[in-house]
Amino acid sequence: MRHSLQYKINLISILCGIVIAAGLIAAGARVISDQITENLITHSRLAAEELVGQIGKLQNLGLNFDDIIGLDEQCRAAVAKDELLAFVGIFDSKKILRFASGNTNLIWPRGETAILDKEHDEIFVRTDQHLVVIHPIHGDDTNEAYVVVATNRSLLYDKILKAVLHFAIVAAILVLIGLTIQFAFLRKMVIQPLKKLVEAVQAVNEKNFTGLTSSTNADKGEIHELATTFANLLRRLSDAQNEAARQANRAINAEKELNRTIVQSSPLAIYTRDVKGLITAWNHACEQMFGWSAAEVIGKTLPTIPEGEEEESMRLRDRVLESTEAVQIEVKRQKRDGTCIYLITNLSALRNELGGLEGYLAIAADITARKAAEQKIEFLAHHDVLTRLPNRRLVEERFNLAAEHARRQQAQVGIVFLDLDNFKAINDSFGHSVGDSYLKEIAQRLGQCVRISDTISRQGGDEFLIVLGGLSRREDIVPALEKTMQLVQQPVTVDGNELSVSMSVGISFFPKDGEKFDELLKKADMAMYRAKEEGKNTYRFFDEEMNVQEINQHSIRVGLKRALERKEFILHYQPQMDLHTGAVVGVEALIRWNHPEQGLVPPMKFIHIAEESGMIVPIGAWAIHEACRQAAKWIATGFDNFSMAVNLSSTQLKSGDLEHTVTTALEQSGLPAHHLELELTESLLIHNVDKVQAMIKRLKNLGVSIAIDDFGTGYSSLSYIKRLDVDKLKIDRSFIKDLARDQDDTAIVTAIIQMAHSLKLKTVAEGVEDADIAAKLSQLQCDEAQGFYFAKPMPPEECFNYMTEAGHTLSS
Amino acid sequence: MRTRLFLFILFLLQATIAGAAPTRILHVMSYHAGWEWNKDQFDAFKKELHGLDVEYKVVELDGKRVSKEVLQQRAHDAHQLITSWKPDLVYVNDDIAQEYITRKFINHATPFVYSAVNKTPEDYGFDKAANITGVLEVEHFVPTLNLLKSIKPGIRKIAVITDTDPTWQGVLQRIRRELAHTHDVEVTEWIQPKTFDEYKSKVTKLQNEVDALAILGIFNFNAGKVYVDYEEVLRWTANNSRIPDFSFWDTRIERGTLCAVTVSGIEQGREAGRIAKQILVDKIPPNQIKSKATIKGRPMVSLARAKALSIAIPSTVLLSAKVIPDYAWNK
Repeated sequence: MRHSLQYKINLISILCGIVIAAGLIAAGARVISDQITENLITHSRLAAEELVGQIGKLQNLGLNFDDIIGLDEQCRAAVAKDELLAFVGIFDSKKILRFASGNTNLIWPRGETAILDKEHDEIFVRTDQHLVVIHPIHGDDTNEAYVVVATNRSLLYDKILKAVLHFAIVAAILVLIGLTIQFAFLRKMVIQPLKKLVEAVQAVNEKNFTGLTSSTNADKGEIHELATTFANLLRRLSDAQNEAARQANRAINAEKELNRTIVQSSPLAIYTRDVKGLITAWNHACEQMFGWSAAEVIGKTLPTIPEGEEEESMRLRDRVLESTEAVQIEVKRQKRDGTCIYLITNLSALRNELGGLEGYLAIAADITARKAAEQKIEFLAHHDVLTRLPNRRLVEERFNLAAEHARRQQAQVGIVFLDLDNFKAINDSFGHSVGDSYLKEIAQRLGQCVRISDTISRQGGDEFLIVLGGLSRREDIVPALEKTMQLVQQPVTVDGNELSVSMSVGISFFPKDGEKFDELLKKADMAMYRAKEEGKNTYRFFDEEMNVQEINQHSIRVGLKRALERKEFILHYQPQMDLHTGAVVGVEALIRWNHPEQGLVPPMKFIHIAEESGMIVPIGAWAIHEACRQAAKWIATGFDNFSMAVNLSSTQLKSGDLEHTVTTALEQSGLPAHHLELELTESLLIHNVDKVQAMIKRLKNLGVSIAIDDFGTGYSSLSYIKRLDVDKLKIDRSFIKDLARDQDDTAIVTAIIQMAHSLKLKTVAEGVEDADIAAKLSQLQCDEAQGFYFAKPMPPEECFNYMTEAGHTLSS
Repeated sequence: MRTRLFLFILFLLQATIAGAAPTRILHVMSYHAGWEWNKDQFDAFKKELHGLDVEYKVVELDGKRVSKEVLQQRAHDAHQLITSWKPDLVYVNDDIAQEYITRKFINHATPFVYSAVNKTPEDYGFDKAANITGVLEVEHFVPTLNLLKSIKPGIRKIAVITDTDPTWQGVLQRIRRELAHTHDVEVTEWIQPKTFDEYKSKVTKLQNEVDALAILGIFNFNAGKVYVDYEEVLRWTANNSRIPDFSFWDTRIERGTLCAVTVSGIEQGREAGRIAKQILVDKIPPNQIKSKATIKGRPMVSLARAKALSIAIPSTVLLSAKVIPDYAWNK
């Protein structure tokens, strides 16, 4: 709502007047109230002081207060003299009313108390009905008294009310008069000149400002000055606007030229299109990027839209035209030569000064190279580089999709874990290049064995994974498995080498064996290991027993870490006999785990776990130290020409700390080095020949003997054996157990013994369980033997007794 | 008022021009200058003429203490002095001096102003004198009686005691006149003892006969004609009388009389001074200045006497009256 200035000024003035009047009345009321109250108190004080003076006068005459009579008259006189006083009384020292202007039964006044005069202890009491001044008269008990003068509060309020009312009326009248004068003054001095000024301003035009000043000629005050100033200001503004317009035109022209230069010289493709999609501008970078010149495209539709993407392009244009902000998009566009490029394009609507659409501006950069790099990175992130199969990340995504589908269809998903058997031998024998080529071929073959909807993935090394979805029954997977195993086993020719390996396969099923990919993968892996353990080249479905076994192995893995600290390992010793003399020529130290809950745990249950976890290194070191200590002890009791055989694992050999361990054990035990015999499995010799050879050489330099354990099961060649400078071959028990009956075994053992002897190596037969075998071995010139036929592995005391009691000592 | 001021200034100018001769005023007192009564009147008189150059001469007749012969001689000396010294005005107070001096100069050229006169002007013939005017001493009998009743209610019978001085005739006449207006009090005894012993005897006898005593006389004599100071009389009264008493003069209250609405010596002296100024400064002939009577009395009580009589004086009285806390002889 608009109101005139006069209305506003009047309104403000009235409000101010009301506020001032209210303030004046409030302040006046307060002052009046205080003054009237003070006046009443003053009257009371004067009356009290007069009475006190009179009493003092009487006391000065030598009268005690108790002797004074008739002061009621003075009290009445005081009340009669001052109409404001309601009561005057005199109380004695016990505050009993002795004299009064009226009712003599009144009690001492009670109420809100204040001190009026500290020097005289004059007290002011505000009771319910009265304002009371109490003036004490000091003296001894007989002369102490109090003059009490009271005024009616109702009288006080009446007087205040009347006075305030009078004051309010006067104040209101004065304010009213003031407002009237003010209104008149403002009307004359401000409103009317302002109205004239407004009329003059309304009449003013670009060329003529003189009317503005002449309108207020009558008023030579501030308003005329304002009008003059305003006219001058308008004049200067008009001049400034004209100058600004000229400067703006120059700036606009300069900006246009600058923009044109920027657009033309920009390395980014810049073009504009009108609302119909026709090109209106096309810079040099566009010509370079797309191949069309400006002359060829201006006024025409954009030629770079690939076939089939016209509709998408139209939608994009509409989106830009509707948007109030720039839109950034990535698009594929076609060049004049037909090739496609990827662009990142900023699209902005072009609007005129009225906000109407006129088209849009496109600024584009070629990101084809970046796009290709991104696609390559994307592929590498989800695929195996060697086989180009999906990697684990992608196969997990595929599994999740298959699992989701299977959940809806109440079907199963098979997770098939494949591991090539002995593939390492191919790498070791023919090199990684051949191994990689072989893997690529296997990957290709796997693709031939499954449906297009299934996913094959390389997990790493020689491990593959197949996700088979939509299975109704577990058995549905078997045909594909058998086909796969069969196809994989077929020889592959790489660089002229015909290679063939089998594969071990483990399978787990969603949702029976689990719902999470990692869980199912782990269980398929367990099943695959079971297949490996059970002869390889086969497949196994996961079952819970495997899980239990895994849990047991985990328990062993955890327990092994504590077993050393708790000294739960012990060594048993199995004597080795000279087949020619029947004497004990040595013992083989065999480790046992004296588990606090499970009792003696055989090595086959924990050694492979210790090897996997690396715990075999400290456990093996302990065994060497303990064996050396025990051997030294026995030698100290008189045994001589005696060797202590200790088995080494491949992990120990690779740890690099073995030499130090042996040295320390010998030094600490005091065992002469030639009494210690270290046994290495044949399989150890196949890998890292050079490294093993160097280690054996260093051990030999210490003076210890080296024996090859389980000889005959591996692939070691005789040249290796010769180069390794070992001292003894231990013939594997698989050749010994049927030696008495199997001609082939006899032939093999005979060959081994003869070969060893030709190389000046001793032979030891393991697993001799009966007299016939012992006799046969003796007949075949085998040097030594060990087995249950002679003695089982025994605790050290028992072994010592065996050696002592049986008299199998060679000391003599 | 303006006229008076002009004349006063004119008088001063004349005095200055005439060689600054002081105004001569002769003061004749009936008693003696050592008595407070005389002293109060003369001091107030002089105070009223403060600012005038006045030469005073005083004649003390001492009429209560000297023999009649001596008194007559002193009066004769006073006549000689008036004749020889030619005072501009003679100020005469109390009745003895009127009798022996003033009435001898009726219609004389010298103006006379009197005060503390108990008799009427007609008694002395002043009503026919052109040169005599002054202040009459009118006792406040009824106010005194009211004062006494406010101190000691129940007063019905009183005895009036004077000496044989003729002064008292006028006083007694006025008392009788006033008594006509009082209905609850009567004077049962009018006593004029001639000696102090008689006085003692009368007072003793009156103890059980009246409720109060009006002790007016001075009693300056005894049986052997030996002077008895009035203070001694009043001291005896205070010590031996057990009934309330009253008088009309402050000197009595100071000496043991219980109460009085006193005629004031100061008031009379001041009024006499104003009249003298009118005569001397305003040049108003005395016969044009009407004699005045004392109007305002001052209540006075003797607190010591009240205590002796076991009377508790109401505070209103104590606060409105001049209270004499102790006997004069104890000071």
